[in-house]
Amino acid sequence: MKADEDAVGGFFEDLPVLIFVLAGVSVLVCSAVWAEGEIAQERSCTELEFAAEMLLEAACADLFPEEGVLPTVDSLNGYNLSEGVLEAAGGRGCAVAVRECYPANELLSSRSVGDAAIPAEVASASRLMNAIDGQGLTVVVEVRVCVW
Amino acid sequence: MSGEIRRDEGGQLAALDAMVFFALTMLISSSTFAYVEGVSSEHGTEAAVSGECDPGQVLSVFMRASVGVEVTLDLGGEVTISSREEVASCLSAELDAIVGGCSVDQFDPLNDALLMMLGKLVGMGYSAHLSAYRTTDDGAEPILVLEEAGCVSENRYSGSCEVPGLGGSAYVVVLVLGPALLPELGLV
Repeated sequence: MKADEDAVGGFFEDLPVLIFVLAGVSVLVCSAVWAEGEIAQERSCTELEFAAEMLLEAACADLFPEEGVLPTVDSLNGYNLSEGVLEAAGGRGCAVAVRECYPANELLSSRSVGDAAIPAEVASASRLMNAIDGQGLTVVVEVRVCVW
Repeated sequence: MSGEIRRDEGGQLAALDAMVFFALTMLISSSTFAYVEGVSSEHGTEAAVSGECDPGQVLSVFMRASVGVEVTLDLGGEVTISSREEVASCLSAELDAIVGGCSVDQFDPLNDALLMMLGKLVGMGYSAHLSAYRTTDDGAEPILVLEEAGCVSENRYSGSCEVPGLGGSAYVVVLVLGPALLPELGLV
């Protein structure tokens, strides 16, 4: 050990330095945690949206099996989606609804599977399609899916 | 050790280093915030359009659908358009008539019906702007413009299709969707 008078009388300087360093590190850690949380949530949303798109594709293929041939509103009314379509949701809770949106505005069919509790995150996708109603009108129907 | 406090100019400027470090952390943090916020909002806008309202797809369905209501026009004589008529056929006939010298006002009942129909298809969240053009040697000449409300947003998305006209000509129909200006639509 050495004892002399060459030490830096730095206590009063070290304290503000310590505060600055701690504040800086805290800011870095907080922003990293926030960014990680946001990115994780974004990734989760993207996966849900992808699942919703897949389910919509499957539902539309099931409801409109023949390209260029329009289904009738009667066939869509109360249509029971096949289990294969619901499997496209990848085991998640999902709901599929078919609604005539022009000229009438009425729900034609709907089906849901999974936990009915209010989900934390939901992704939805929809597509407009044409169909023929009983009076020979080409109507517009909306196929909407929700995945959670 | 005598306990004497000595003052000279040979001390270390540790506080300055700490301030520089703190400034750097603030810079890194704000860059992180800006980047993550930018990615989130960009993704949100893309998702809103791709998942909910694709203008090209809406236009395709709209053109193929029936008008849905009976429309009577005064074109010198009374002309009634059946509710079963396809939108594309009606638009084609209207555009031919306008090019042939008819006034757009004469087609107001049909245009109102088409706008109402578009409004139901795109929902309250979007405002629709439908326009038709004739291609000429000088470029595209607008013939018909139908819109619910002016759209000032930068987030506009469009889709287009061709409608055959008389004599082998063709019109280009463009649908532009933007966020609805709810006050202008009288909804708020």
